[in-house]
Amino acid sequence: VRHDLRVIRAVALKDVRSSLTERLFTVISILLPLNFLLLFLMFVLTGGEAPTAVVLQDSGPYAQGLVQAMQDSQSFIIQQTDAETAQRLLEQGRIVAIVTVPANFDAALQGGQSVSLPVTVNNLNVDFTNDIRRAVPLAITSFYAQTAPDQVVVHANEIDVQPHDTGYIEYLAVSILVVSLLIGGLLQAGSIAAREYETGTIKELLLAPANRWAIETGKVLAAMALNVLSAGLVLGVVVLVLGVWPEHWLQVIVFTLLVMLTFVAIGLLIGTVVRRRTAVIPLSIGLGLPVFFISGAFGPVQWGTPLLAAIAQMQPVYFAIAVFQYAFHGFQTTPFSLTANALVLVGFTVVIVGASAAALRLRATP
Amino acid sequence: VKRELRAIMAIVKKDITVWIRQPTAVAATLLPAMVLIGVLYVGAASVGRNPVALVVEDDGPHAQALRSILQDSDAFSVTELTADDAAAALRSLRVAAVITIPASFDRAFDAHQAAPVQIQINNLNLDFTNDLRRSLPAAITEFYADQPNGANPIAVDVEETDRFVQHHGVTLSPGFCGGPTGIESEAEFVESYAQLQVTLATRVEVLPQFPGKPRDYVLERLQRMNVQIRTHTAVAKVTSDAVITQSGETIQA
Repeated sequence: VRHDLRVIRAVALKDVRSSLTERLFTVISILLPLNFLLLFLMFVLTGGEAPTAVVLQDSGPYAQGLVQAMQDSQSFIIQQTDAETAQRLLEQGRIVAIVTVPANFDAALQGGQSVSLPVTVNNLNVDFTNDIRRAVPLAITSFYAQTAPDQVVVHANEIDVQPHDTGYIEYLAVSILVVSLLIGGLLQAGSIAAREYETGTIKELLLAPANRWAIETGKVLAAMALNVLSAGLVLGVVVLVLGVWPEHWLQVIVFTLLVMLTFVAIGLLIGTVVRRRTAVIPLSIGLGLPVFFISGAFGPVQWGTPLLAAIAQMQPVYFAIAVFQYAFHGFQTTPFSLTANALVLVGFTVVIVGASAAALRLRATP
Repeated sequence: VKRELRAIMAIVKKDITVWIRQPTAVAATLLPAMVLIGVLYVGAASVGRNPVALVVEDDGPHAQALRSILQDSDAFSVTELTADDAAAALRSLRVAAVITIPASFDRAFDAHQAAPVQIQINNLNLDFTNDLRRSLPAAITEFYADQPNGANPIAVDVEETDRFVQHHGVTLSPGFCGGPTGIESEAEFVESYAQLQVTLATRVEVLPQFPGKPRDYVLERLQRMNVQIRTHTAVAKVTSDAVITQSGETIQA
């Protein structure tokens, strides 16, 4: 046992030192997961609310009520302004639409007459235009439900399952943390394994009087040590910058180690099989992205197509996102319990480490 | 020049041959792209339609009308369930929300009393949650819009102006004015040329031989497709860029 421990330590130290000699690659592989986090968050920041100018030509209570209904509809980012400024903002592309509440709005409604609400839309694309087309009538109905509840009697009565709402960024940041661990793990471990084949040192390593499992474990530990840097960086941004404070810190730490182990094992397997870093790098980044999309990063995959849900459950990222969403937000995002998700992850890790050890065989050059 | 071209060809050939001889390089190039295309193809089918369980406890006409709107909604993928099954589906993440039209819906609606439609949302994140929060009021808006004249209390309508005036297509209903052939042509134009703003001009009514529900349905569909409808519009002249009606009005293309 003592000999095996010495082998593990020696292999781990050797791999960390080798990686640190390639400073540029190490820095890039540590920063790349953070890059993913920032990239995805930029997509989310635009949100689903359309920037809209409201030109209020009537200051009566009905007109004010309509603007309030628009504000409550979660469809607009409203800016009250005059007609000229609104037109300029529309032409500059800074708003999607102008809604003008005409001067006779209150008088017409009080007199029981119909009134038209002029809406000018920047119809650059159908997506924005249809959002506005849907949202304005919705706000009008909500306005009626508020101001004339005896006339518009049908309304939505909402009951939430979760005790509080969670913003999309807060939810997605946790999923991105997982994909960062995945890409970091694949890159670090894949490169460590492939480097042995590229430099030809795999021959000496396997001919040495050491157990293969000990060699494999040493490489896993080295990759995990390097991956901890990038995981810590991403975790720091998620917690300190984005303010996503975990509900269960201990579980975050335990699951980070477990998930890192799983992904590092997959990286070792890929590096051992492809034996070239030029192949490991595009595979790590290229496979990380689609796996991220199918694993329930944006919400439970069961809410998508059955085929997508079936594919998602065949790989560990799905279960990794589930345990992290629980650790951060207390959410259940799969039909399985937390223990079941964690056990499946452990099972994946055991199988992948075994497959990786089996793939580690003597072959000096690629 | 010929020599340089030969050199370029030789280098291209050599590099491609080297690439093909390395299965890992081929896999690293093609596999991620293929997987991503597959994922996007499978994932695109579910975009924008949240799975929702619908519990209808009232079989009155108003409840059935709302049920029909919810089932046809682009925002939901609706499964009708009993209250118990819907609760179980929500717990096991098979649906994102449960919408319940209560047993008292029609009675309350007819009596002008509050008729709440309950929506229970698994508010995991605001993306899904806000979609659902918007979609039920949108269905209620449609429910009111479908009420017969005089029964719709909403007197505010939207007058839309598009910043970019699109190219305009005018369909002149052939033969028996505004008949099925004209409507079919109309739909074809809209589907084939999404960038066109299409107007249907007909001498009498749309589908005069199918009054009532069939005509209402077609009108509603055309409105959803953003088709402008001009009934009782006889055409006097068609030029290369406009249609001139007998009343002297010019519809620019």
